[in-house]
Amino acid sequence: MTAAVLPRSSLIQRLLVVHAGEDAVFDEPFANLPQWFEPGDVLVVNDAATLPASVPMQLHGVPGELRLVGAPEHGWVVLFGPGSWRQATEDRAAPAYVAVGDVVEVADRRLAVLEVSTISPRLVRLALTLDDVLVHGRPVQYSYVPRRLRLDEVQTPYSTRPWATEMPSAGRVLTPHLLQSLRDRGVQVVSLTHGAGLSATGDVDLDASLPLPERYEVPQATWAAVSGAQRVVAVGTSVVRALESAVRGPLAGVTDLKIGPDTQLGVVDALLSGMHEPGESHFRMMAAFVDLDRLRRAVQHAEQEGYSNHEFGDSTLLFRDR
Amino acid sequence: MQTAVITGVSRGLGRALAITLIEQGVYVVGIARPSAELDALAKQVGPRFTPIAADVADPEAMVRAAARAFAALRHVDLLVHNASTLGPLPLQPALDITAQQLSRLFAVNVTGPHALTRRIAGAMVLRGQGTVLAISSDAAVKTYEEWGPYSAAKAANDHLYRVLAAENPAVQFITVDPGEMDTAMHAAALPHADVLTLRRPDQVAQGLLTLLTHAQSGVRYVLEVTP
Repeated sequence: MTAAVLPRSSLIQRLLVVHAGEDAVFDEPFANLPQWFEPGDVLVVNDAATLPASVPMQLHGVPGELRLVGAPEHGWVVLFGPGSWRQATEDRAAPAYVAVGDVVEVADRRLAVLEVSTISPRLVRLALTLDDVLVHGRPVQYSYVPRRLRLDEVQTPYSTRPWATEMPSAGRVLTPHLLQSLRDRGVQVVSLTHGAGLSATGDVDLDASLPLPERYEVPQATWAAVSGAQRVVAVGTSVVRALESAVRGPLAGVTDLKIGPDTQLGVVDALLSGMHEPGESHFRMMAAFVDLDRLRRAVQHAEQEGYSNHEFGDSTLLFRDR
Repeated sequence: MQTAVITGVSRGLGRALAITLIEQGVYVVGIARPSAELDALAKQVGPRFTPIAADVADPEAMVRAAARAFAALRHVDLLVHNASTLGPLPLQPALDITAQQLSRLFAVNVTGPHALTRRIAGAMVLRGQGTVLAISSDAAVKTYEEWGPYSAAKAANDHLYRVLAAENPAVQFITVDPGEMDTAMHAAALPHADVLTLRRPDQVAQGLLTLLTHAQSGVRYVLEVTP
């Protein structure tokens, strides 16, 4: 698939609809999204704002970068060696090995390493604050993006608390105008907060463990709306993870739930997401909605029709048929 | 109303509004450039107040300030754009103002605040409630020589808010001319004014809150204050 490398106008956004029970896909302009909804449907968005989760740091005098894994105050970060986002993450130099008690410098702050993860020696915990991140951080971005992103370019239109370390990008194109059109159609639009985490680190052991545990919070009113819904449509894989965690456990907490082809979905009936390909954790989640063969055919169709992927790319609306 | 974000909070009307709201039990995030006055206000009013030192002219700083505000407040019920600048002092004829000076004036009065509005009003649309209030001036509708750049910026905001109101029926967008107040900004513009004829910022703050109980979106108000 072609990569959409920068924010694009919502006017050229496309929507691939994979409908339940029909072995066919539909190509739509994204503006037609409301036509796929019916009164009584509940659309659930993730209102997490995106943190500037990439923070320059120095380790033993060598410049590097840390990327926040979850909440700043939880302190878990992935360390990167010299280099920048312009290199593919898997080509980045690894940082020096660190041990508990070593010091990571962020601007004039000296942060002690409090813990080193057993998953990877690059996953460590520091005594970090929200202000360390808000003052010194920049958006996490990848090598296919040709210039520095501004923080406002990685926000959804309705974001609130800064919980996500990467943009919950499925909602990026849900403009206030579109939300109003959905409401005019009788669709209830509600929100939850889910701290969507890093999508790749370039570290084999870490990437095999993604997604790492993420915090979420489903408000009572949202849960009530979801419970009484005709159909529940999740905007983004983070919303699926939060709602399916909530139905299996508390309405708020930290979840390590992983969703794939074998998951029996308990709440969510449809997913609005980006374009995902085999091999991505997001693709595995899509296989919980539609069987893998149909999903592969849909991806093939998207490739032929020139859909674009990544966080600024086109959208998929996937109705569950299993 | 439970939460508010106010810009230009270290002096004048912004400060008075923050104090009045906090006394009524509202949690307030106050944005202003770093100063001893901001620190002193934070000390004075206590834990219901979260200060953010940032320049409203800088859109990137406003995006970060919004994140900090939501971390503190969860939701924002009221956003007040109070920070403002008159531009170079003493006031000068419009032909004497350089493009760079005009650009800076619009950054403080219009474009920087808009970056903050985008981040906060978008969430208000999703929630289906919230108010964004911008302080206007009679200079936005009357023609005063030497007030051109400031007048133009205030008029721009008045019109921008009417359009925002039309586009977003779930959220309230209003602008208010608070009248002439006894503030440092007024003294800088008109040093020889008779302060006894000027309104006190705390009276105006109270008047604004009363207005908010019955205000309609898309309207530009001229505040009536009974001393």
